[in-house]
Amino acid sequence: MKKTILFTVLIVAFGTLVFSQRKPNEKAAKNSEAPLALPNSVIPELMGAARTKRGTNLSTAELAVLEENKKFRSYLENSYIQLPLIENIRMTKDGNFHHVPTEVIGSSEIFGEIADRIKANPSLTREALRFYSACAVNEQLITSVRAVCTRNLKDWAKIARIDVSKVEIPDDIIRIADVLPHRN
Amino acid sequence: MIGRWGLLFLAAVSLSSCGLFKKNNSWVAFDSSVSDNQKDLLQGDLQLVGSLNFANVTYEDLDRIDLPDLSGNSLARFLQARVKFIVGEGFDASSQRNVVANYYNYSPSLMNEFSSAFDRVVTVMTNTGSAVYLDGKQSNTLYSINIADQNLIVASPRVGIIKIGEGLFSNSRVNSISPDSLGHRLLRLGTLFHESRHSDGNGSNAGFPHTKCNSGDFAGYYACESNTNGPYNVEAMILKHFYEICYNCSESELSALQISAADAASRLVYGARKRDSQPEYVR
Repeated sequence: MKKTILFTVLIVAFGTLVFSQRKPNEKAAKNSEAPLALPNSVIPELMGAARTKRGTNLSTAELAVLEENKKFRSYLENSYIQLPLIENIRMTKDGNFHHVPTEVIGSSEIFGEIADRIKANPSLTREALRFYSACAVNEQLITSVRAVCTRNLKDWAKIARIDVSKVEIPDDIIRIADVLPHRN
Repeated sequence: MIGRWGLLFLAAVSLSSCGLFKKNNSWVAFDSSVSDNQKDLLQGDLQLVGSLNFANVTYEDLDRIDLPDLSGNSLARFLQARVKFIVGEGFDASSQRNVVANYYNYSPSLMNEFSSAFDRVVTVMTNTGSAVYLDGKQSNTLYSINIADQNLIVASPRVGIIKIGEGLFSNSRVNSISPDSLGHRLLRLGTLFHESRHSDGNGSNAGFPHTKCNSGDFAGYYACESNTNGPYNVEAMILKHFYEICYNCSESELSALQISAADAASRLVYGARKRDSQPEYVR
């Protein structure tokens, strides 16, 4: 009897734990403005990779990698909401758009930091690709930044050999991304 | 005593406002409204141009900038023909402007790069000069401008003055990299090539003016490009090559060049076409 109660308690505790961990993701998926919200077609391979990690016995090294991924994701989420929105640029620049807005070029620090981190630890590439794909399809962001995200998405996906062809990026963004300088 | 100090103050103000030019060893004269720090940085930028060497130059690249090649020498000559004076934000072109002739009949001729008219008339070249020329053309008024102890006739879009400040420095402001780093220098030069192109063109396209954006981020503003060889497209092309030669540059510097190139490329409207870049002039 005691064993049955203990088993039931464990099952409930496990279920609560799983539910509490999944809930934020579901919320994020429902909220179209949430950082890293991805369109339905985005990178199935990434989703698959996330599932295989769950429920397996992880070594200390693997746990360290997961922890670094978590920190990186947190950095990406914070960075994502700092990317320049069209609405904000139009308000702050007061109609003077002759040159690239300072807020736009300022985001190069974000892209630079992401690139530095990926180069130091290629296992972070997958998280970065989620960031780039979310940015590339976000119509609220300034076009030049979306184009740079698209360029980075393509370049880093090629290096990591991940297929991102299903990310639905508009042609006008791809047209700009295709003429941008890029890493070999 | 107060009177003497007052006179000294007035002398200093008048020297400053009339644009006392500082000597330097580059082809450009800097107005006193340009700070020493900005002047040093820009001189370094300009000296860098002659040593540039690009790989993978395409016919399309050359077609955009109307040059036979993209060697450092060719690029330096391109700027030399279009940048003679650099003034700071304190330089007020309207207060330095004089009317030479009212009801002036603008029937400009095309300027041959090697013509004597070009050598005789054009001693400076900047955006401000281009704007003054276009203003005069629109109002049938021929202007001159007081600059570097000269009363220069504004007879061509190439007679302008590059005005620096917000456009040239804040646009390349990236906190994590130094203003004298290669990346920053290349960003400023990208803007300078853009501004230089505004001194070309003729007829309705004199000064290569920007066109009104019908859609996109800047819809309703004159911040788009209808010329494949206009300022934004020249800038996008040159920044692409700058990215490729930015050896040992940080990822932030490379990203800044990439974003600037993306911004410039994003300004090109559908149906853009190549225009004659020869500048016009009036006698």
